[in-house]
Amino acid sequence: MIVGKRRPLGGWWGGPIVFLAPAVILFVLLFAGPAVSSMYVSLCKWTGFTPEMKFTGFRNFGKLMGDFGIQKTFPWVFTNGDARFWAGVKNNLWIMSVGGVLFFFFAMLFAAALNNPHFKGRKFFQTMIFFPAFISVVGTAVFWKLIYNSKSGLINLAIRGMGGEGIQWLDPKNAMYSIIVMMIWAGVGGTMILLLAGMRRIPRDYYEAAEIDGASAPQQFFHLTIPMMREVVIIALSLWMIGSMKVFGYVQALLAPAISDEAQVISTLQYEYAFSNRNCIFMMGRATSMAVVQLIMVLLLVWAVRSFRERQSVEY
Amino acid sequence: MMCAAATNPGVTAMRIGTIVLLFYCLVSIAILWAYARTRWYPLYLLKSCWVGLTIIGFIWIITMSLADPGPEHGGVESEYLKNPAGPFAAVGDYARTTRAIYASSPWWLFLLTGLLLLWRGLAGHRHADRDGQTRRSLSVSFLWAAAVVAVAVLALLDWGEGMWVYRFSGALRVGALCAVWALLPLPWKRRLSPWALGAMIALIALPLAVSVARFDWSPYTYATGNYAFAWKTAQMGKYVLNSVMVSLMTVGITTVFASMAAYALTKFEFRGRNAVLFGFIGAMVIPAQLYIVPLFLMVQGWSVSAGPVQFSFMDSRIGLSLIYAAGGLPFATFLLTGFYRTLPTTLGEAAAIDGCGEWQAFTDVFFPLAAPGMATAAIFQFLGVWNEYQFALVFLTNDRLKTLPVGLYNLSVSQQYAANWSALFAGVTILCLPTFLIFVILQERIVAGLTVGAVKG
Repeated sequence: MIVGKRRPLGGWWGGPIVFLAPAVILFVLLFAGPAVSSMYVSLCKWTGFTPEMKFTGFRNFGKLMGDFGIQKTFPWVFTNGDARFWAGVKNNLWIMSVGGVLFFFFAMLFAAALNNPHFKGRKFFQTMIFFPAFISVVGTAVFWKLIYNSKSGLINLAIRGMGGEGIQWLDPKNAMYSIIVMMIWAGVGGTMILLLAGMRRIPRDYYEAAEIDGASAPQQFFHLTIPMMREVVIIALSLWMIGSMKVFGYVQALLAPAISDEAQVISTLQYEYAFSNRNCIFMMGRATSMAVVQLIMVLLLVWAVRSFRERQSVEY
Repeated sequence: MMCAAATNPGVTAMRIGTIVLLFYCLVSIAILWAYARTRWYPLYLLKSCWVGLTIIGFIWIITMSLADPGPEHGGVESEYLKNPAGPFAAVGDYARTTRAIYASSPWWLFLLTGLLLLWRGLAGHRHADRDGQTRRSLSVSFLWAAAVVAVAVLALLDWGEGMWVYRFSGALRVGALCAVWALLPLPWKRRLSPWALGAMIALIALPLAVSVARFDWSPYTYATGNYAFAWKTAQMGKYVLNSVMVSLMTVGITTVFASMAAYALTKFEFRGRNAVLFGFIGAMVIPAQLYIVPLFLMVQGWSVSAGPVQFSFMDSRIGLSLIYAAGGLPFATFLLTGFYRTLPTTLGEAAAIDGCGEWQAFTDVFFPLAAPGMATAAIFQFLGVWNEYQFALVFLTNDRLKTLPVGLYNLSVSQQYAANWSALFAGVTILCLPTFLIFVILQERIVAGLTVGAVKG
């Protein structure tokens, strides 16, 4: 659509500024401003109780990266402060990779199933798969907390009904898997819709041509559907990557108040450092520097996916 | 209550009331209808399991929200703790009920069923073959029928006690049958006559129907008490109200502001236009965690008190709405920019000729035309805020002002210690059910919005 070149009627100040001002003021004041100033906060030491911040340069990042100096001096401040952060990073990457593979397997499977024009009850299945995405994160977490309950949760009841032992789903060593299952359950619908939209955009003629050439259904899927919807897959992939790097509510609501180190992710650890430290030592600067590292990781991932997209785009 | 079936099997068979049989016939017919209408491919097994488990989970949650919370209905000794599976215990009890029923059934019933199936099977039935042609062929169903009758006879004679079949409990056997059914090749399934199928389902499902019907539902009649507790004592009602207020304020602010911004960004040429647009798009990548700490510290100090009116960002619904609105603006502006771009610029020019100012052209011409786009943006914003957790956790410390997610989280923590589980189940239901209904109503628009936002953008 052509954007008309118009001089504002009421001059510069009567024109775009008036329309843009409320949004931009709100955005800068409560979003962009804090986001930019977080870059400075991440370079400071700050408990949050006193107004003055102590500028310490890259000390926070140094501590995250593995300077154990503070622990040698004050071993009671944090046990394994940096190790916890890196455990969190590892968990985020674990959700992103292992969870991502399962997530895309299911999303693609469901999208392919719903794309079948012969399939009756499509609407029903779409509703049932998609709607968990719209229950609040906490609702999902509490729902699954009840289902994961080791004594009286539905899963363990079923396992015991079949003669099994029952699994401690929320124990530190299993918690990550439980979180991945829950996140897939909640998120697969949205991605399914995206992939379905991508599949619908592929012209029918292509499938007819493939059928005439004698391609079987799986062949059509792998050699026609997937290459044709590369764009959508990459968008869905980057959304999953961003989402899994930022995940907070699922972990917090499922496992708090006692999140073990095996199940911490960056965001919950950051929340703990900044707002709910058990030792009542709030480390605002350190928490913000964690968020900066998180942002850098997200940007790197998105950039990597984008560059892949530009390299391998298909024209049709 | 399930054990009664094992001790006096004779009574069990007698108690099968008309309602049970009716229910069970209806279910059989529904399954037959579903079989006729749908095509079940092995691939779909996973999807069916997925959806089936979701449904079972929600039925379980809703059932437990009706359960008796305990003596004097105040918690502690909940029905949930006594029988956590509720009516689903019937599935686990399947083997025992099966034997109890079949052992008490007269032998001629099995003979009759077997003969009927054999007859129908040998007679064959009409079915559509691979090319859609109708043909009549020998049904494979009598093999199945023979197997089912054999199992029933084994149960009747109590021979099966030590057999490998009985090592598995009922749930596993039902699951195995479903799996076999799903993996059965389609041509075979086409050759399975509906008669035989009906009889099979009948023999398998009858004990289940009996258990569910005989299930003691009397402890599951405390809906009003549990929901009243969750709504009043646990303050879910207040949280819902807070959530509604915050969501609506946020949606209002975001939609109007983003609409104005999108109008300015698409209908005017000015320096820095692309920079603003780029800023908004770039901001969508920024995680909330990045700016929550500076925002918290910044906002802590801000409070306006003008006479009786005191306003601060902390512990304030309006403040939280403004914060949410700022967070939601980038996406809403992005979405609406795409929408405003499709509205022809000539409309504004025509309005200008008719004597409209810029402001009037916006309010009277473009704003109403952009309503569908704004509805999409509003839905996304509403759902986002309704479900938001982290900001609400940090910026609202006053219990009176908390939003629904934080409230439910508090409820989930406190009720575990208070052992009023039923109230917790009721709380989850209060959170999930309206969302489900709203989702079902708005699904088309949500799907369209998601598709437009991501596929085209």
